[in-house]
Amino acid sequence: MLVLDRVSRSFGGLAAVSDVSFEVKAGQIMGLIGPNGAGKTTLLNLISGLDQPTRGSIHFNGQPIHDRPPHIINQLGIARTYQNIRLFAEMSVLDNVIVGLHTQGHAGLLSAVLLLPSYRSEERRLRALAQQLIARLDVQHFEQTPADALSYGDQRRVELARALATHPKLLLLDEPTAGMNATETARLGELILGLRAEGLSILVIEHDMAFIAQVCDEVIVLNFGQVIARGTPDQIKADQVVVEAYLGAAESVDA
Amino acid sequence: MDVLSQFWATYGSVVQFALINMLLAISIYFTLYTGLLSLANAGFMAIGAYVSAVLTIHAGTPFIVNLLGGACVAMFIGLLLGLPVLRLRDVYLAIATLGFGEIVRIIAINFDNFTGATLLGGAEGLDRVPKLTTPEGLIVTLLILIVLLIQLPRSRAGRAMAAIRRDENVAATMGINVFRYKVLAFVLGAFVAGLAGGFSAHLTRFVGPNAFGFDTAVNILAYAVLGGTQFWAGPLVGAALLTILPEALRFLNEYRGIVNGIILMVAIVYLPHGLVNPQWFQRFRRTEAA
Repeated sequence: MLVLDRVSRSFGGLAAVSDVSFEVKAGQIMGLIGPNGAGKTTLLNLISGLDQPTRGSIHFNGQPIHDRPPHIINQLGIARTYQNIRLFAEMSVLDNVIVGLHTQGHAGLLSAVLLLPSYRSEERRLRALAQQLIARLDVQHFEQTPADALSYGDQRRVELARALATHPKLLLLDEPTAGMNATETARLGELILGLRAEGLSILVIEHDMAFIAQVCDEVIVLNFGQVIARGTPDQIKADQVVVEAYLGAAESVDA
Repeated sequence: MDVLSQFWATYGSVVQFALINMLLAISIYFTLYTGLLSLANAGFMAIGAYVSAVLTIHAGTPFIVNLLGGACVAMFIGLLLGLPVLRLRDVYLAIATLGFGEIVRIIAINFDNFTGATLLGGAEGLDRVPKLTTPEGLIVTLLILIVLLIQLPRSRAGRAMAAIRRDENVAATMGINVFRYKVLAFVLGAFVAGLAGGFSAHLTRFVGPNAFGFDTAVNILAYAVLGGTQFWAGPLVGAALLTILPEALRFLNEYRGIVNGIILMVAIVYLPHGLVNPQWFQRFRRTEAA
C-alpha cells in the first residue's frame, strides 16, 4: 500500500533520513520507534507531503506521491496527527473536526450566503458526521469547547477524530499516547485495533513499548536516520542492536 | 424630523465616508481572516474608482453597471497579481502588495491621455465625475456584505480560510487546497475594494492618483486591526470609529492628530484582538446560562 524506496532527506550536510525502505501493507499496523532525533517525524513529514525527500521515492497504492502537495496526498487517502498537537486553537472541538470533513463537502460560498437548501442539508450532514467521530473518540462532552482548553490526552483524541474525518486509508500517528495515562493508552490501543478491523492501515510512532506490543504487527527501528532493525514487537524487544541504541541514548542523557 | 435633516446636512458626508471605509475594512478582512497580510487594497480601490469614473464619463452606462465593472476589473487584476504574489508569506507579501499599490499610483499619474482624449487625467486626476453615490446604495451594499461575513465562518470556504490562518500546513494535510483559498480571499477583497473605490469616486466627484497611496493602504489595515479580524462586526466598528474620531476630536485643533494616535495606540496595546472580540459574547452567554 505504502512503499518507501531508499528515501533520504538531508538538511545541509546532516542526513536526517538516509536510505530508508519499507512497506506498509493494507490492513497492517506498523510501529516506528527509535531514540529522539532518529528521524521518525521527518519521515512522517516526507510521507504526508510537508517535506520532500532529497533522494528516493514514495509510492501509495502504486502512485508516486513524493512530489505531490500535501492536500493531494490527503485526498489520495493519507491522514496524520502531530507529535506537538496542532489543533486549530480557539476553534471549537466540533469545528476542528468539521474542517477535517472539508473534502466531503461541496457547497460553495455563494450557496452559504443564499442559505440554499443544498447548503443547509450539507451542513447538517457534516455536523452529524463530526458528532459521530467525536462520540467515537469519547470527547463528546467538549463539543463546543475551544480545542486548546482541553487536556493533552483529550486534545490527542480530537486530533485523531479530525484526521479520521478526512476519510483516510492510511493513518500516520505521531506519538498518539503522549500525555495519556495507562487506562487512556489501553483504550486508544483498542480503538486503533478497531480501526484496523475496519480496513485502515496505520503507521505509528511511539515510545510506549506496551502500546507497541498491544497494537503493532511489525516494528521498524530507526537510529540516526537509518533502519537498524525490523521485526515483530517480541523480536525487537530481544534485539541486541536496538537495546544498545536505546541504552546509548540513555547514557548520553545522564552525562 | 427637523433635527434629523439638520444632522444629515452637517454630518451626511462623514456618515457616507464612514460607510465607504467600512467597505474598505471588509475588503481587507477577507485576507486577514485567511492569515494574509496584504496591503494591495488601496490599489484595487484606485482601479475601481478610475474604471467606474471613466465608464460614467465616457460610456454613459448606468451607475450600477459602472460600479460593478470597476469592481470586476479590480478583481481580475487581483487574480493576475495574486497568482504570483500569494506564494509569499507574512511581511514579504505585505511588501510585494505595497509595491503593487505604488505601480497603480504611478501608472495613474503618467497615463494622462489615450488616443488623444483625456482618460485618467494624469496627476490632475478626473474632476468631472457626477455625484451618483447615495446613502441607500451604500447601505444595501453593506447589508449584502454583512450577510456574507456572518455566513463566512459557517461555510466550507470560510472554515478552510480560518484553518489556513491558524496553521496552513495542517490545513493542507486536511485536504484543503491552501493556495486556492488564499487566491479566493485575495480576489474577494479586490472586488470589495473596487466597489469602495467606485462609490468614493462618485461621492467626492473626483479621482486623483494620490488618494490611493501608502496612507490609504495603512488606514485600511488600521480599520480592520482596530476593530478585530475574527468576527464580522470588527471591521465595521473599526472603520466607523476611525472615521468619526478625527471629526469628534476637531475641538482639539492642532492636537487632534496626536490624541487620535494615542487613542489608537492604547486600543491596540490593551485590546490586541481588536475592539470586537467574539470571546466576550461567549463569556456573556456562559454567564447567562449559569
